[in-house]
Amino acid sequence: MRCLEAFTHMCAMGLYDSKEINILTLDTDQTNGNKERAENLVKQYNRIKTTPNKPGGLPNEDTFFSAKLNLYRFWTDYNNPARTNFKNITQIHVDPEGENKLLSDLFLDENVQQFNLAHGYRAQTHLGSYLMYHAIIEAARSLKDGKELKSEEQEFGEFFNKIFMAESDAKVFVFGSIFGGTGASSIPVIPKALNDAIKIRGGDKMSLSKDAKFGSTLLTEYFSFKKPDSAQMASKDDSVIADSSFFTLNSQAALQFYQGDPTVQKTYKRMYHIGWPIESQDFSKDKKDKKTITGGGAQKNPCHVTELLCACAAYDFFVNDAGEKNTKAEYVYKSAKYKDSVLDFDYNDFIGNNENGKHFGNKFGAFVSFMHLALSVNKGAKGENGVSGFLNKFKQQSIHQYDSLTEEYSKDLTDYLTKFGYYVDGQDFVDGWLYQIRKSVSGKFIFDDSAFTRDPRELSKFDPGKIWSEKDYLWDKGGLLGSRYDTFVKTLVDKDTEPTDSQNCSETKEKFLAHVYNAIKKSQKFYA
Amino acid sequence: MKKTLSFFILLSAIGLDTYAKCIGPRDVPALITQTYILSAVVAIVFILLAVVSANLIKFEGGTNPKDPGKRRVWFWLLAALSPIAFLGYNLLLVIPELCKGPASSKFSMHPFIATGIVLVLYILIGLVLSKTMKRGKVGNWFPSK
Repeated sequence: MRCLEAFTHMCAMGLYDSKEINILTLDTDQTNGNKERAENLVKQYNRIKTTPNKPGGLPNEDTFFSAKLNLYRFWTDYNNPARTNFKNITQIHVDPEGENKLLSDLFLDENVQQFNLAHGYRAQTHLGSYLMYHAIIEAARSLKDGKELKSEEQEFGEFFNKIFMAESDAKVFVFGSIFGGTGASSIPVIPKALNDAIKIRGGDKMSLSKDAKFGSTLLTEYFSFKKPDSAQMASKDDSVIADSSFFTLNSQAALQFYQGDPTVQKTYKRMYHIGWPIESQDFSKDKKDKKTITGGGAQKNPCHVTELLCACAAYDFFVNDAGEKNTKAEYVYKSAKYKDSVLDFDYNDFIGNNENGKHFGNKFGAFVSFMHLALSVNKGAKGENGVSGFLNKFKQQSIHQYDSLTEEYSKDLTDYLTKFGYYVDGQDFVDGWLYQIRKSVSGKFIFDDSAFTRDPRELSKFDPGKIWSEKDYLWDKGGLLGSRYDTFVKTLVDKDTEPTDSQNCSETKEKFLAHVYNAIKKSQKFYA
Repeated sequence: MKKTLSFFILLSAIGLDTYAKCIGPRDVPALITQTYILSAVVAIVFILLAVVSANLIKFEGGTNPKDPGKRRVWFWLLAALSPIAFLGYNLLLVIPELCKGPASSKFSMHPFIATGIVLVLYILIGLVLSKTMKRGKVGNWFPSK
């Protein structure tokens, strides 16, 4: 789900110009904190783009929030008392000598058959793949019956309808780790499950186009957490708990599977291996959890740069044609500068170098500047409505085309930016996504270190035009006694910075974002 | 003869002395024209000062920045100073140069009229500049609603 957060922020930066993207969140843990956070972020993104006539807005070009995102959610229901564990779902204990029981006992230990599934498959991928596939098939059968459909089944039906309607143009990218539970379980079975679901739904008259393309991350271990103790594992429900000390082994075993399995090789066009070569991030550090958190609302872990790299893998898959004609899966990876146990990232390290690198740097840099303008310069991080600072500035300089934007909209956008950047809660500095990513990198992360300051005095006089170390991208100061912010506002109010027709913005909200984006793009001179 | 000559010399000396110290009635029209030209120049100089001050005040961040207000304060401050400066110049440096009597009375109203012109011209030029460059810093002098 944190890969989805990174992906959503990339959409907000404007990296997916003119695209309409359908997102399906697939989870076993309906109450999971990270799932809730990711889904709320997508919903907020949609609210920012939504107008009375166009829910979720429309795709735009060369601006912030340029992609249209459609969110569908599917989760397996393991909270029902009749479905809390494998035994209850399959009812294999009814016939103890039957084939199903014997096969299950061959592959699944007793405790694996009995642990509570409400928090997911707990790194039991052999169980998870089986259950996830059947959950999808079960949903397809419900859709065919059409009676008493649950909301998650309806949304799932809408999602795979879209894949069917896209025919040979369908491109499906699967985010998942290969060392854990849901992702590791689902990646191998998703293409077949979707195809079978479409066939069931359409009564065998429908199927996935043979030219539909699948891509996936192969995300190996990058975090750890508190080891479960025997006391916690004493109960039947918690008899199986994921142990992060096995994640490296899980990753190794999974990679061997993905390299050798003929079904995976035939189904996926490209698989993106993303790993973390240095010490895993300890999610339990500085926390006083008495037990290992297995899932639920308490599982709200910080973001990591590997998740951003997964989102960049999706960019490569969706935007580039490379690998489309592959008849067998191609395995790709990414590397970054690594010296003396320190990783350094610059803007060429994410979606490629040259033009791609410039494109990434321009978009990411522009959004970071936008964030600092709203949160640091306009004090949005301290509870003020930072985005309204832009709107008031426009009014003061006799630009009235954005007067109709409501306070509700500007507060929502400010809130989105706090999730992206940071906010201050009393004396506490709370990291948003960007600051969490920065924390996960020991060396340089794209921008100058001053762009990630937490010092209140530095933030109060923050210069949003000085986030780059590279002098070429610093905003103009406008003379010896000038200021970058002053020069920026002059650019902002200039008629030449207004949205153009080519940006495909028809609504006031879209035009406002495009206007701000144009001013920042001009100021940071990636395309001067 | 000597008395007449002395008297003539004395009268000439008085006449010469008066010419060096005060402006006579014959020169008042030119002085009036000069005064009105100067009023326009003063208005322009003060407007230029207002433009410079507006541009020196930097755009500020925050949800409700105060920089437009600061520019308006300086505009009206200079609006008040311009007629004061012009009238002061006339009262202290021009009017004392006039000869008492017809010259002085002929000129007396014009410094005050010209002072009014300074103020009106200053505000008019300011309004035109503000509306023409409404997106710029001088646009804050007369903001549109």
